[in-house]
Amino acid sequence: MQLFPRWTNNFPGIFLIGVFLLLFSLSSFIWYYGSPYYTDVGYAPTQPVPYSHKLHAGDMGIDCRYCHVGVEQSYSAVIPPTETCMGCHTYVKTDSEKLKLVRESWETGKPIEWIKVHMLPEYAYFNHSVHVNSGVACISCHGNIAEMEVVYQVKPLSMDWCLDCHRSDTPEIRPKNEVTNMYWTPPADYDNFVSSWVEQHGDERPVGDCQKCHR
Amino acid sequence: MSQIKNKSKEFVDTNQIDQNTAQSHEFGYWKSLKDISSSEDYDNYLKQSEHHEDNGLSRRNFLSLVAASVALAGLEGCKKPVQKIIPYVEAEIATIPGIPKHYASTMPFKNNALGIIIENHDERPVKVEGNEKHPASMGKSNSFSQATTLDMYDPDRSRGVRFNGKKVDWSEYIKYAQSLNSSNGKNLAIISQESSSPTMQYMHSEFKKTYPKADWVTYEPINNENLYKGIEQAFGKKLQPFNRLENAQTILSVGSDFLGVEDNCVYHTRKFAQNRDLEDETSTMNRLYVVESFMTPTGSSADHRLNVPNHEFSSVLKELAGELKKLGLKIDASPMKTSNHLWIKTVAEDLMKNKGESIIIGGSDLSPDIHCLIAGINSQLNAPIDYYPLSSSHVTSMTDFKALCKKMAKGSVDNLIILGGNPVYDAPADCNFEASLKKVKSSVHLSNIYDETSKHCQWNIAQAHFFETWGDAMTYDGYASIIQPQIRPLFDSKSAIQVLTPLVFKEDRSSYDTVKNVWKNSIIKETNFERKWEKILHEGVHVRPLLNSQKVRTVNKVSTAVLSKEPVLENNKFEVIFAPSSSVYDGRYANNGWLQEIPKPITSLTWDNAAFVSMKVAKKLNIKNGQMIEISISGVSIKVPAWIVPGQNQKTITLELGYGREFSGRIGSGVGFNVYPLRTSSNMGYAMNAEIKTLNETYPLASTQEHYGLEEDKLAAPGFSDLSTNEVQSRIPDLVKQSTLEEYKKHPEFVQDIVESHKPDKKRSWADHSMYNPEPEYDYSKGNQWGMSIDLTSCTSCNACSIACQSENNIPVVGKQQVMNGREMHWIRIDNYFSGDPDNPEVSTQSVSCVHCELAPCEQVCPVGATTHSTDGVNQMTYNRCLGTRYCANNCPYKVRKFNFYNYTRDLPEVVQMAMNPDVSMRFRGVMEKCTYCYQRVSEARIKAENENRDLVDGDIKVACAQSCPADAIKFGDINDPNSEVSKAKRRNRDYALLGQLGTSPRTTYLAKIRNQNPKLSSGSHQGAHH
Repeated sequence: MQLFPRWTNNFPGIFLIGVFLLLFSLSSFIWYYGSPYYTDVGYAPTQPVPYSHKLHAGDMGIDCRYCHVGVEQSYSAVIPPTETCMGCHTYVKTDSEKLKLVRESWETGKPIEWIKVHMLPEYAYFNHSVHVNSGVACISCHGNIAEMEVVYQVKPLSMDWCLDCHRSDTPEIRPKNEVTNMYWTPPADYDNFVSSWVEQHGDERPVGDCQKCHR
Repeated sequence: MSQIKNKSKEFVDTNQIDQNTAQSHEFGYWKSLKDISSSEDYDNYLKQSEHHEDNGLSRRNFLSLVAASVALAGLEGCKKPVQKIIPYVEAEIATIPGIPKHYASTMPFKNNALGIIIENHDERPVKVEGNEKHPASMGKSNSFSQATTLDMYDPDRSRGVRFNGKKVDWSEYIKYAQSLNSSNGKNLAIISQESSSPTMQYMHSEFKKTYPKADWVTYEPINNENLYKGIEQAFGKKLQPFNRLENAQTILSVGSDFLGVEDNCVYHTRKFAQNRDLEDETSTMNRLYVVESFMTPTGSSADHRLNVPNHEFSSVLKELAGELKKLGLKIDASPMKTSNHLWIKTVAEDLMKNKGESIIIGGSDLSPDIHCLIAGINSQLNAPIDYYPLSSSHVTSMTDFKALCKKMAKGSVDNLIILGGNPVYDAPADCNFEASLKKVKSSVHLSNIYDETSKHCQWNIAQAHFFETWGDAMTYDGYASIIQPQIRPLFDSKSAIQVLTPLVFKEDRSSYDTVKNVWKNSIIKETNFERKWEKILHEGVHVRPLLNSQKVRTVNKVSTAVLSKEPVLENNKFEVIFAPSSSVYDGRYANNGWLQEIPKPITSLTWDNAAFVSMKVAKKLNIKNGQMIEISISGVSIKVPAWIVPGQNQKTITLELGYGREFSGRIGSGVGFNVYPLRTSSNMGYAMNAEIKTLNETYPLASTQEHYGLEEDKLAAPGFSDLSTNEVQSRIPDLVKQSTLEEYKKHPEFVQDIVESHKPDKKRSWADHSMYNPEPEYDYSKGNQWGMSIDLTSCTSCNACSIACQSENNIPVVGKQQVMNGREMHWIRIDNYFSGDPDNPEVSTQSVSCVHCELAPCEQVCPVGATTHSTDGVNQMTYNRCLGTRYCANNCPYKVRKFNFYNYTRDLPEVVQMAMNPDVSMRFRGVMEKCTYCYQRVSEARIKAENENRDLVDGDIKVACAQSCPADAIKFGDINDPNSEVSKAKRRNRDYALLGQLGTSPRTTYLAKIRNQNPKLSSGSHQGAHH
């Protein structure tokens, strides 16, 4: 007696294809969410003003904090107001085509709308000041900005990446006066420096303290 | 403790009417009336009738909507959207984005002032705190000042200037105002609200000079006119009394809710609580007697409460005067003996014993003659009251107001300017204000919202919130301070000073110039004015008071003869009290969602007002909870739902003012029932001989009293058995531990004894009894460990903490229907427990939020690790991990976790979003939330200290509830620091952990409630209190 209709003969095949599809989607899911495409590593949007960090911070050696004034005090590093640009560009390159929007903004009072490069989810409360004051360098998270014509995201900025550093026995730290230096090399007694730093700050590194970032 | 049990027993024995029910339920403590009623009573009266309200979203619909939004969310989630950063164009001096700024300002409230500090995030004012340097707030605040932030960002506020409904420019109004400048102001009138502003006073006197024939009337529906009249009668001049409660050891309140909604409540609560701060059993505390007709926060804080209807207050005072005369005061009074004799005699003795440190406070709705007698007795008692000069243009005069209404009705007012307020809605019914207003040719209404009065006025001017404008205000004792704007007017609004400017100065001037000129010419008067002015702006108060206290002498001999004849209550009729609402006051906060949804003290009602009736009246008239009743007074009648309230007098019905508004506010329009139609100028406080008819209609009322009950939680009870009423009741004394001062002196360790008696095995530590992980995750002896202590002795259930928490932590408003489903979101709830006689119970209030157990039951059951413990001992809630199983809430013995059943914040208008604190995440649908110990504040202080390379010190962190608490009952800090405020509090022998027997080791502990009962009354108080 034919219990099942004839077309059920295809079931093993369908089943195999199904398993294959499932495995494929699962692996592509994992691949996607771990990939730079999702974490945005390499994200380099075109800014409304073609500002070159390489020129200003690299070749001319302007300190990061000249423009990013909040970095030692606030959660935000602060994108400078148009006034900061105009402080120099009232005298320098006053008719550059690239600076047209900056001059317009200064004349009309309309702010420049920069595109955010380093995006954190809104439930993550990152604070620049406490990192910078503890000796975490700009380069550790942002890469060598001084050599970027267009700023792009270097690190994944994922929670996993945060915790890697926070749980590490050799965190990325250096003396506070060197945090903005993009070409700093560790001195000979760096190991001593790190171990004394860990001794001083060790307790304060969040291990299970979710609320330090998520509140 | 045993004393209280005895008392309840005694009540059961003596209470004839409840004899039958009492036999089946012997009751001591109870949480709501249903606990002490028979099931028959419950079905007949207390149970609210069922309501099937269609909320327009069936379950099936809802699921399909959810499915659709999930699908959309899936597509959207693939890529982060492009985000923009918009910096300043010109750098703001001393501004670094991300660092909040704090400015001192002042909240004007009627003719008083409350000094506040306003926290601004990115130029948006988002949080109000008390100003420690200001003498009336002393760093504390109340629920109105906390909630005013939401008023500022109310999207329903009116905008700009309108003439006959058409939008016009401000200059049009200036032209109009300048055109009034003829004939010395004949036929011109101004109605202003009460104010203590020196600038307004200056404007008033200038106005009077320019327009000598014009009328200027000050009107507030809830005012102290009777008090001032009584004082005038006693001392010959109108004066502002200032009760120095810090010097009062015996306090008698006669119908005054001075710890609740009456004026200067922050100062009163702070100073009252100061004398109840018991270090140990050797400390002394003040004693509060309250005579009142319905339960108020003051009555619930009382050590002894006498339940007397309002119209019999004069005979209580007569009897008291007689007793005081016997004890040697020079009062003209004859001895009397009523059923309350023992109570009154004892009070009189206590008042005399502490002569010089005893005070009688009369409620603002008492008649002038009673206030006159009280003032006289107070002066005889040498009571700690200072009297300050009172400017009559600052305060309400009903005589003037009525005269103006008559004039308007006759058509002899051509131009009327109403500076704030809403007289069409709240004027006494006999003034016929609406009809009179229609006879006025041209009227201007300055109002924050298009309301009942605006509809009848040609000119509508949007009123600026005090966050948006310059101004000033002064405390009763003359400390002036400046109102400093925090933000440019959002809706092109103007202040009362600006509206008067074109009339007084014949030109437009900024309010800044006007205020500054007044301060320059008449307040500071010094050569280095600019520096002084800057300093006052910075500090928030002018340190030199503008008023000096006045010496007073009674004009006539203090005599009970001043009392007018007591009104007679006819049979089967009631007196009706018009009480200001603790949520919306006189109606002014009707469009404030935070205030509408906060459970009111004692009744825990939200979103509505009701007629409060006593249990016995309800039985007699067959009134159910939520049943509509018709109240008629001399031909006028209104329909209101009834609510049965413990402690309500049987001759009294209490109605809350401020509800039933008909205006264009999306929150407050149509909420509750308007009771102003019953209120006439001759019975502003209470009306006699009201008739009540029970209607065959019901109305759903949302009360939270029985939500989140700890005493009914079966899991937290030993043995997991079904709890009978008796067991439920026997658990309440373990939740809110209390005793009398006398007992406490005899058994200073009574709290520890109770705790000890709960230990299953006394040799082992608490951790051994815990059913959860017996080893704490971290070593809590190191580093900063956060903890909290709440003193139940001083808590008055004023709700300031709960609203402060709401403002700080972006807690959503859920609406009446959701509250009825038990889904209110307040992180701090205030539990009310009652004990003894339902007609005059003792009330114990306890504010409960997450207690941060070291061995937390919630953490054990979370399948995704969304709730975990931090190294500094805080029970954390990580919203982005939570997927909404609600296991944690089910496993929480304290019932403090609140779940977002809907996406309450999704549709918030953009303006309201501006009121949110950017340091705290907005929670989405399906996420659990609860108290975080204001971890954003902890983090901020910790980061600041780390950046400054120092350790945190006590006082660096002030959590929102502790900051606002006017009784200073809440202490927060590091429990590892032996010198911190919280460690000191926790070392007191009254310290106990809520549900300590579960072994959860909570970080928030309570200090047991101590009542300073008079031994002469404590054994027989209920007999004495029966009326």
